[in-house]
Amino acid sequence: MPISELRSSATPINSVAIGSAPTSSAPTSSAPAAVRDDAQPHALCNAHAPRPQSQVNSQVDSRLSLAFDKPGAATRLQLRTQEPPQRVVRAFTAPHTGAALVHLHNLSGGVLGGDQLQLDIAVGAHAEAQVTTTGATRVYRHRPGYADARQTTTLQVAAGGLLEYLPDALIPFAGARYQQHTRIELAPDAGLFYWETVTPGRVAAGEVFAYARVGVDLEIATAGVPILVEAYALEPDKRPLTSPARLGDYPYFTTFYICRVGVAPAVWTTLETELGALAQHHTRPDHTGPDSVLWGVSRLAAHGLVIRALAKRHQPLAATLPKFWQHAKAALYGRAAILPRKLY
Amino acid sequence: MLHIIDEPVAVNGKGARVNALCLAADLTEMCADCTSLDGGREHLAVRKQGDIFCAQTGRLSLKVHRNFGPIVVSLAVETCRLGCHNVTIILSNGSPSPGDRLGDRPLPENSMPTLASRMLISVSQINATQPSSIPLNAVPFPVAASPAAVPTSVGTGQEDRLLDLLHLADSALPIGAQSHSFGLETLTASGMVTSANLEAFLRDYIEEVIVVDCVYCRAAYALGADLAQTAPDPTPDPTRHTELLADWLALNRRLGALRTAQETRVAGEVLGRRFLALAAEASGNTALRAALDAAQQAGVACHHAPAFGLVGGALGLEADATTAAFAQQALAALCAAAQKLLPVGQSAVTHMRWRLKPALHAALAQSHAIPLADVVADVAAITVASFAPQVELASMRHPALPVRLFIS
Repeated sequence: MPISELRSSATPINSVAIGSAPTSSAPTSSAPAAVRDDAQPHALCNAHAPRPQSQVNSQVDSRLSLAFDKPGAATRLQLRTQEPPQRVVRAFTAPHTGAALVHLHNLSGGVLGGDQLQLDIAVGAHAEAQVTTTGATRVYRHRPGYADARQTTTLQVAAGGLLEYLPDALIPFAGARYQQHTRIELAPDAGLFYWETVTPGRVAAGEVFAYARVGVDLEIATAGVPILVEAYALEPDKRPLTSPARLGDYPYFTTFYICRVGVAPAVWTTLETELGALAQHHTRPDHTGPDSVLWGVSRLAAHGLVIRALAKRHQPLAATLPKFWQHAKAALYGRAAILPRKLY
Repeated sequence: MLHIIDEPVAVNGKGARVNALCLAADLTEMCADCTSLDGGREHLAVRKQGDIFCAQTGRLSLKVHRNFGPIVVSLAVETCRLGCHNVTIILSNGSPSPGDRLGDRPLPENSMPTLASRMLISVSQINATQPSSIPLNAVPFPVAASPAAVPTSVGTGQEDRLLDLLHLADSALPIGAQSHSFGLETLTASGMVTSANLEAFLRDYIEEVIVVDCVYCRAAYALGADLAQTAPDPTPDPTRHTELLADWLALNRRLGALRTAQETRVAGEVLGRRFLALAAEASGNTALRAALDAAQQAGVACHHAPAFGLVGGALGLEADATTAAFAQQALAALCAAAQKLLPVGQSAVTHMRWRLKPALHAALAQSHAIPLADVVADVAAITVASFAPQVELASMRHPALPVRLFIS
């Protein structure tokens, strides 16, 4: 079944309670195969014929819309819209906190050239959601004749709510063209833990900075005032990423934003100092060494902190990010961070 | 621990004075100008042990050198109307009497001041010929000259504007630009940037960092040009005047949100505020004064690039020339820092800067691509890509350097 048919047959689902499996007409177990059938010039294959311009419209246009509310002790997931290839795995309730833990899944195995993916997450007042992915986000080779793949994400956190958006790393394959556009709006006392790791590509396959373009623009705002604006475009062929002003000797980089609106500046100052000490502890500054990693912490213009790191390998980033998260969660919310069941 | 009390002594040579005093407990932060510890913290941004900025008043920055035992504190005071005055303050556990110059005596190692001790601080201006200690309240604060009293250019036309621009872009302008390396100090200390790759680094720095400043400088130029029309008499169109000031604040908020490394962000804020205040006072321009007042009232920090652009627009300097002048002086400041940090000579840097002009041209071209009318219409729409994580990380890690020459 072509993706366009899958998409058109998907019926928006409202108010799917936490714990229940999504009941949309989203693809069944055969769906991934169907998706790949449609994407026959698959990005994993380097040798495929360019698609004619007339087929541009057959690109995937998918939306996944999630809402979290807290009618009782536990946060509830409401699935508003689910269109393939995006899918949400049923929510689990975190012990003690009642937070909803959900996994996002891309049935097609990654972002194909031309995909236009929209993700909307709204966390209601005092609700708490942890959103992660089932695996790394693979961005396949750009398909000539198609638009650049695009992921548009809108995250809204209402007063007193908390969103922990902790996806796995982004892996742009050789020739990939990808734009990620994210807007986050935080209400008073809303909290956010948001990290993002970008790899140089399929390193094991010899692909290091072999992608064509990766663009990211992100804004975090509260009451319409931006507290974080980030926009970059990585085009290794045009602007070498190994420049000492860019990545230098470090092919992996990660960013972790920690926000809670309304927290007193003195709290951020203290937390910056504490996380700064943690960053120092985990930094291996010898940039010629194979395990070198640099961590840094800084207060944002308001309401939050940013943690950045550059590394020679991915593992130190994946293993250390949760440590910052755990420390900050305890400092800002007085409770432990619940790590997704993954290898770190 | 450093503890500065509320009855310090400001030593004044030629009008430099301390009119905001900071208290640091455990080398954290406090601004006496903000009246209370908690209130002060609202306005303060601690850079590292011993470095203190007040983001609101921007009055002080402290730098503690304690690597060799004795404590010597150097203090940069920027509140003098004549510009930035570097002064040295010496801490003592004793109780110096008024008129006592503490000189350059470092504290004995065993006399580390504690939180409980009430320290008296004396400030002496470097190079002051006859420094004397005067109680703070006895120092007459220089009164701003009214706009009407400020001498204006006697000439007209292009030559005057060129002179204004050259003056404002002069690296000797006393705003403290020479005190910042914007992360370069960390990169040189770690060996990431050396004499061998300095030129390549600067080229990429222009592509990723200065280009952002160019865009914001040019955007602010548009606002400054319009403000110059409304500020002298806002009454015919008060709504327009208010909108322009709101855009000015939004522009600065947005650039502040873009600068994730606090040390670099605060450096830009300090330079911006000093530059704007200096230009407003020197020129007597009502648009600049209105922009400065609006920022102070809203508690919004003015960044250097938009401040430069605003001044260019308000004074009627040419838009492209204003942006180019800013880019040129930003690169010059970084090169000056590089000369202090690396074994690279003046001639080599001069040649380097000459060869980097195409990169500057490209950055300027990118800023020119944004129509000024669009800026005025929607400040929030300004987006410029920038990717310099090494520079940002270097700025974040700068406070941890064991020895530092620069504030940032």
